[in-house]
Amino acid sequence: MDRGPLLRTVASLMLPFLAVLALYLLLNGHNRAGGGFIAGVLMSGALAMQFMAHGYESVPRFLRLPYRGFMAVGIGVSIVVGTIALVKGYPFLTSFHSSVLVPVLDIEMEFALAQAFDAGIFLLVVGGMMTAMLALREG
Amino acid sequence: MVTAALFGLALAYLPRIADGGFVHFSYGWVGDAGVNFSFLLDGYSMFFTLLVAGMGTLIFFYSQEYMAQHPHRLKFYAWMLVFTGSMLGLVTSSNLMVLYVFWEATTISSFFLIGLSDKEEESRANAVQALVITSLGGLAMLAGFLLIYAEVGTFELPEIFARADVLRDSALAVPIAVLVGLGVVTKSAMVPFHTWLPSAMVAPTPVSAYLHSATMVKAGVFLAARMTPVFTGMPEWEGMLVGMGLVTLVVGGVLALRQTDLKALLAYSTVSQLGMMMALYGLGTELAAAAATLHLMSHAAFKGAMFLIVGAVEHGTGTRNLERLGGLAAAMPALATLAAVAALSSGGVPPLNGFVSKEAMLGASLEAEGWREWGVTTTLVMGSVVTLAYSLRFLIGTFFGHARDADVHPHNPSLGLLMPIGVLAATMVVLGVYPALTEGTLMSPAVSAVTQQLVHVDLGLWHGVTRPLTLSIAIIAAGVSTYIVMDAVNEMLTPVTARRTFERVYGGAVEWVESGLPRLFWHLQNGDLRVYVAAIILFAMGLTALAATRVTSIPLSDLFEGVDPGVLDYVLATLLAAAGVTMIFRRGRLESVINLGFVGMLVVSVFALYSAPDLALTQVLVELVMVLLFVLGFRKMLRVFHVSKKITTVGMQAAVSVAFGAFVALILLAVLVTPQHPSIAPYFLEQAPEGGHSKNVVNSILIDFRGYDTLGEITVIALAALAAYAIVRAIKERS
Repeated sequence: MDRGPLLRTVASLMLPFLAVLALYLLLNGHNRAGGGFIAGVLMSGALAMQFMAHGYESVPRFLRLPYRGFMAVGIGVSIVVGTIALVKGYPFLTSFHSSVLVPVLDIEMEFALAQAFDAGIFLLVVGGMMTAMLALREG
Repeated sequence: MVTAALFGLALAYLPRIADGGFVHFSYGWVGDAGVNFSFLLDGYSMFFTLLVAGMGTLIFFYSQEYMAQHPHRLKFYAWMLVFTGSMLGLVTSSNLMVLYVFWEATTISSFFLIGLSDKEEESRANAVQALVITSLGGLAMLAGFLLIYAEVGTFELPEIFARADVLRDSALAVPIAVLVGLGVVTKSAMVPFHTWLPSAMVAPTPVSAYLHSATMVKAGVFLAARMTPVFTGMPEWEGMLVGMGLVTLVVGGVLALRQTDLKALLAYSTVSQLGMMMALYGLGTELAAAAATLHLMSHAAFKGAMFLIVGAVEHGTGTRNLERLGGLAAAMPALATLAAVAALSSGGVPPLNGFVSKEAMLGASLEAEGWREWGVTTTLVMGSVVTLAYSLRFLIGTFFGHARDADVHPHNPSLGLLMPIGVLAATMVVLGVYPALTEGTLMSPAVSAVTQQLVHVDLGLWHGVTRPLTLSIAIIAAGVSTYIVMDAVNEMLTPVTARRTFERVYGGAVEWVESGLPRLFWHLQNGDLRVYVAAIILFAMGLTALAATRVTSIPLSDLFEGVDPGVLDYVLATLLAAAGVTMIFRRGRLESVINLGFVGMLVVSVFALYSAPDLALTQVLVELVMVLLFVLGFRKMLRVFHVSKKITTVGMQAAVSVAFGAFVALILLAVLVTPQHPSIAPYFLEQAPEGGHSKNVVNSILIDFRGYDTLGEITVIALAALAAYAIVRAIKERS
């Protein structure tokens, strides 16, 4: 199914940028506008664009992922993150944070456990959106 | 192995409990709602723990041999272990909510064990029947627990006991007693809720012996006993438990008389015996509680053994039908001996434990006050007569007399099957001859825990010539005579007993629900989305209007006080209104979607204007993806909408739309002028950098402070996505 060279080219060109932007929103959400949900929506929008521009069969293989599994992994990550606090004797979903020295870049970055929870949300949103969209495509 | 270890572990705690001590520990769960994982090991839960672990050990041992060839062996063990764990949790819970969770866990494992042969229609239907009846009761009980919390503000049993008089005097006391009572009587299969228990006999025999005789069905009795300090003295509670218990005792016993399937006979006899215990706990006196607790132990031993005997008989002969069995004693002498011990104990013949506990019950009812003395005693005697008669039928019909069917070729059961039965039989003899053995260590602490008073239980085989003994002798004489004329009795009662009234009522109710409710739902859910939306909107408006009548009203003139629009606001408002109006006149689906996207983007501008960058960013992306989803969804649909031409329909739709718009506008305006409660914003602004180490407050709230909510929401997203996937798949497969 050909939808014209213009759309295809633009879609392919934009994917890496959108992916980086989504990652940025995900990581940055802790301190500035962004977060797992938004990043997930952006990412699924970017992916959806690929599928619409190229058609499912022509999309590069590395984008045809088991998105339904993403949902399970996402919820799993969120629950595991919540349970860590429980194991440590705090209420479910308590967050912890620590500073990490990133070796190559030689900068100190702060991480909070809540960010891992956010990553779970990201995965789940991408999985859910893509599952729904790909299902509609098939129908 | 596990259960044996548990039994040992529990035994190790026994001395502490016996001295009147108890073990109590608690883990936080949902502390704010009063729900904590707290457990209480006192005399009564110790008694039940030993019962569950002890019977469990024997039955798992028995199952190794019995279930060796069963196709669903692994599933059987898995669910039996789930059950054992849940049952132990149930009896040791100190928090009513935790108790409820374990309660339902036993129901669920029971469901899967009854439906073990999931390829068979009967097995499935009976599993559902048990689930429906017991979980309906469970829900009533849950409602009762919530009301208890509403009255005394705690789910913790010790605290509830401490405030029992507050609870009893409250206006909700009667509803609470009835609701909790419903849970009790359904779980313990009281008439008229007993039908699920005989049906549950499709499960393998170890399941029947363990769940549906020795332990799970006693959960109701357990809870009735646990609630003794709270509800005793309330006529409603006593009437429900004693009344239903006595009716159950007689009805169950009479129905047991006519069964030819050995397991059905035992099932009805279990129903009957449960009624007896329930009635005594309902009386609530010390003597009655002691007698019921003692009989609980006796019953677990003899009825568990009888079930295991039936299993061994079926294993050795291939049938458990009394019309085909008979004269097995010659081929299975050891089993016949054990059966004699179990059946005579069940029938209350000295010197076995069944006799001791029955004497205790008669003693307790004779000491009861008022009408109970003769009422309960007479019924107990009647029940005991019937019990002896069917016990004899069980014993003699199976093992003595002549073989009724030449095709039955019995072979002797192996040691693996005999051993557990032997242990139980030995218990019956020992506790019959020397009942004082459990007096101090087990029974006294258990009964003290039930009544919440220090009680010393005095047990003995021989009390001299007393009224209970006289009655016992009369019972044995009458029971034997009833056995002799049993066929005539059954014949005489057939017009009543053969009608299967209770089963028909249950069947009728199920049929009504299955055929009646869908008709109702088809009216409510006619498939037209517009009707749904209208219904939701109207309902929400009605609810809010109702709430609005209960708060102080704001004068209309004040509504616009908080509003001070600028030029940009006017421009945006005009554009939004225009986009909204054009939306109405769109006929094509795709055009509508794009129009809708335009409205969304205007809303984004509003957010951006009022410095809500997070919201604006989210809204942009959500609008985008929504348009995508709509476009994908509409691909296979008609390109234009179906629009009604009928003036009434259009009028209605317009009215609902305009009303809703005005309604939302009113609420928003009202919010602006309503005096604010102390704002929570400063708290979060302060907490985000400190508690969450984050500079983004919105995100901190979402993923940290309100993480629970978010977890729930993302689960909903996943469910919605899966539902969409499933629906599309279903449509695709149909076409």
